[in-house]
Amino acid sequence: MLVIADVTSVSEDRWSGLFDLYLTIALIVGALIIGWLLVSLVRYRARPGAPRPPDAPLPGMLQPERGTVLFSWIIALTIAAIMFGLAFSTIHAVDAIENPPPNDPSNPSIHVVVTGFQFGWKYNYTGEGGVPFQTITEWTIPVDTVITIDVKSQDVWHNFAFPNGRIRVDAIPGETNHLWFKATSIGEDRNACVQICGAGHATMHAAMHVVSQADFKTFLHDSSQAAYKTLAGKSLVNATFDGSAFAIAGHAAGKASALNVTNAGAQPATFHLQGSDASVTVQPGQSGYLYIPAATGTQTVVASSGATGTVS
Amino acid sequence: MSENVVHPHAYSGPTRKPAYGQGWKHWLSTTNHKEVGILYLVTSLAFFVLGGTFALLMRTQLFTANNTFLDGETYNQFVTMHGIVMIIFFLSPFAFSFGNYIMPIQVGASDLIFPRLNALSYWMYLAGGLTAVSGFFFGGAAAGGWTIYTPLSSYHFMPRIGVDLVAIGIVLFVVGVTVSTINFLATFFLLRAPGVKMMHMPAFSWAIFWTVVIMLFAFPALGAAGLMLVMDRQFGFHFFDIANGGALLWAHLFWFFGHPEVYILLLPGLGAVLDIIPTFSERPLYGKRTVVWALGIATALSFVVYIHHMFTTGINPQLREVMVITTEMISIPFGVIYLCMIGTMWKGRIRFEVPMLFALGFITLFLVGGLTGVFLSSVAIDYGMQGSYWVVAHFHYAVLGGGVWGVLAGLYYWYPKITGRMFSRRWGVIHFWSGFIGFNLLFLSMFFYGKMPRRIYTYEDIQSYAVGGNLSLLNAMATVGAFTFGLGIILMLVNFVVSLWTGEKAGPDPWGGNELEWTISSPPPPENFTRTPVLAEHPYTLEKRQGDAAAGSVVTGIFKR
Repeated sequence: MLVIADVTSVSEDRWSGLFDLYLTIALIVGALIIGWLLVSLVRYRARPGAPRPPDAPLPGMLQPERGTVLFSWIIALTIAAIMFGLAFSTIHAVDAIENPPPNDPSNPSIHVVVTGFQFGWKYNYTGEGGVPFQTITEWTIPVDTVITIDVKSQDVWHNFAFPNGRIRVDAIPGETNHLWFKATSIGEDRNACVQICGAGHATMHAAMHVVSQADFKTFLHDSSQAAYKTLAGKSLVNATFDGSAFAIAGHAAGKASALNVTNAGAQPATFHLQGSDASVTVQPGQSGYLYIPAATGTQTVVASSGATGTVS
Repeated sequence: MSENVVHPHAYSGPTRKPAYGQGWKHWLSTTNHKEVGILYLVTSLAFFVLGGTFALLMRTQLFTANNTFLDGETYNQFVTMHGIVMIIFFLSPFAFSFGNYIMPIQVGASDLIFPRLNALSYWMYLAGGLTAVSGFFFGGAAAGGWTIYTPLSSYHFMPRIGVDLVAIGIVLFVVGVTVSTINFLATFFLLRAPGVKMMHMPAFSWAIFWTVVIMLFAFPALGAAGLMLVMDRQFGFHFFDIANGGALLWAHLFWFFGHPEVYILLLPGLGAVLDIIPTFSERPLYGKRTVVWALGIATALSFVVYIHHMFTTGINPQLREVMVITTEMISIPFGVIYLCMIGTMWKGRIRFEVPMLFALGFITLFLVGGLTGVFLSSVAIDYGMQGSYWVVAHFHYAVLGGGVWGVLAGLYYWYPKITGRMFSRRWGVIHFWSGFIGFNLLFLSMFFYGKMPRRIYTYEDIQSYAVGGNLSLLNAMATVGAFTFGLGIILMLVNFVVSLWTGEKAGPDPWGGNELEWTISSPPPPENFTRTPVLAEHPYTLEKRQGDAAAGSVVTGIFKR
């Protein structure tokens, strides 16, 4: 028996509340109908010697119109009232399930792009200094943090599911779907595909590690450094900052590059790429990486002192 | 009205060429609606056994966690063909065996208006069904689920011919269906016996009427989609290219058909139940006019809800909210129909014959299907349910517990009429209980492991997916239930075959039914009525009825012949 720690999520809480509302109403309505049916069956079962009802149908005879439409209207309007109530609560809940809360600067949301393929899931993160990195068939997220996801597919129709968190969203080739959730406990859980996608559909799982926020920082740092190391092997740009001016060696012509900035000044300095929100803070005498995406034209790196350097 | 105005009822009915030859040759060339009905019945039951076998193979594989009885590819083919065979090639044709056999008699016609087109529809159906399942002999059947979503079903991802065969089979079937809808509608409008107004038609005929209305508008979308799929796959058309947003195009075309299809599957069974309940409660149908219009409203609504199958595709949120409301509105006509069904039994004299047991089974099982449908009409709940066993359980309660149980009730109800023999009541009751218990063991269990993804051939025993923490045990219960249900179907088939020889003679009206089919011999003569039945008096009075009954004049009640 496979035990996975049942990670609860904010979506699941909202979902359960709504489900319980529907369940309560369904049970009441079902009990009323079955109760009435059973009473009818017991009370009016054919007993020996029971007289034929006076309007019992005879062969070849038209059945008389029977009953009053008043009861039908009562039933119709009652159901309509219940249904509008349910529809209202659904629309209310779906807003909360789909629209992430405003970003909290002290605990910013994490954005992950999930891509389905035959047969597995790819998770694309943006790491430190803006470097992209990918994990396949497993991923790590911090607890109590808003995770916004973009769901895509690279081949056929899939559906990204986190069954215990009550999250399921279609991964359609050529389309991007968005959703958010927040895991509220640390543990291991699993993602699955719930849209038939071929022979390997059944085993298209991914492990989901929900870790503490500190552990996630470590994960993000280690993954980013590994990504820069790989990238530096392909395209490395070195830069030195002396506290007031940049000296950038090498160039990145339309190629994604790792910019390795050495801080030769006396103060810690923060660098960011103009037009993006990726940044890296480097202590004096140390060096750090910033990600330069593949783009044509000149890209400008801005230091916290206001000095700029360009990569062309 | 002047002399030369031709009233539609002046039309004397279709002329039919006699079937050629004797024995099997007779069955190949027959155009009699009753014989075509029997062809539909036998063929659809054969497809039922085939589709049921696929289901039992799947349940065998899922009996326990990590089972290796079937591999993923084979299992996917069974999942796909189970759905296609049951939904397209079993249930509608099964229901329309009674649409063919019973409906013309109920409206007082001697046949459908175009008997030869009716025979054509049947042969198109047989050709389509055989084409669709023949993929198993040509390198494997289609394997993308019964929805065969593109791009998985495109040539690139599934090059085998089985997908084309399914699509071609569907196109053939749709041609037959479309021909039939015109045939049925013209029969309803032009061939009712003199004096019989539309509102006089029994509930079953009304249900068939609304069903063919849905068919007329829904099936062409499927036919077009199937044809486009074949053209895409074999001739390089680009209808469903991903670059053109084609992945969603297929889903739209498919579900525009797919949701109304649920009502196509349900209404005939519901109609049969609405005929059965008055007979065995010995009271007229409560609020028949309301029931008829409720069915009409359900027909109209069935076309404006299909987006609920695509709630998680990221479709326009406003459109989705509208579809939440329209979907939930469907419960209004069905709530009213429930009132009328149970209201009919009130102050009746209820006889628990086998057709009535199945009708009561319909009421209970479809109630669960309907109530769980309300859950899934909610976008928010759908986010937690999409593609899960909860959904599987829901639609089997609705389609198998609703549609199929209703038509099974009809099969038991009309078996004496069709064969002239009674079946064994004892074995019918045993079938009912094995079916009812097996059904609930099978599908009620699924609600308790509702988180488990569906259409997977193997699963790990994940505690948190099962209420009570034992996923394997719940799956084993479902498998036991499936075999219990299957056993009931075998008992029914054996009962029906053996009773052809051993059953008592049924006589014209074994149940005390009041529709026109019970006024003629069992089985009916080829032309149904020796003289055209005439609705002579309306509205009739209670005194008149009691006088007729006292005089023992059963057949010549209100319908004078």
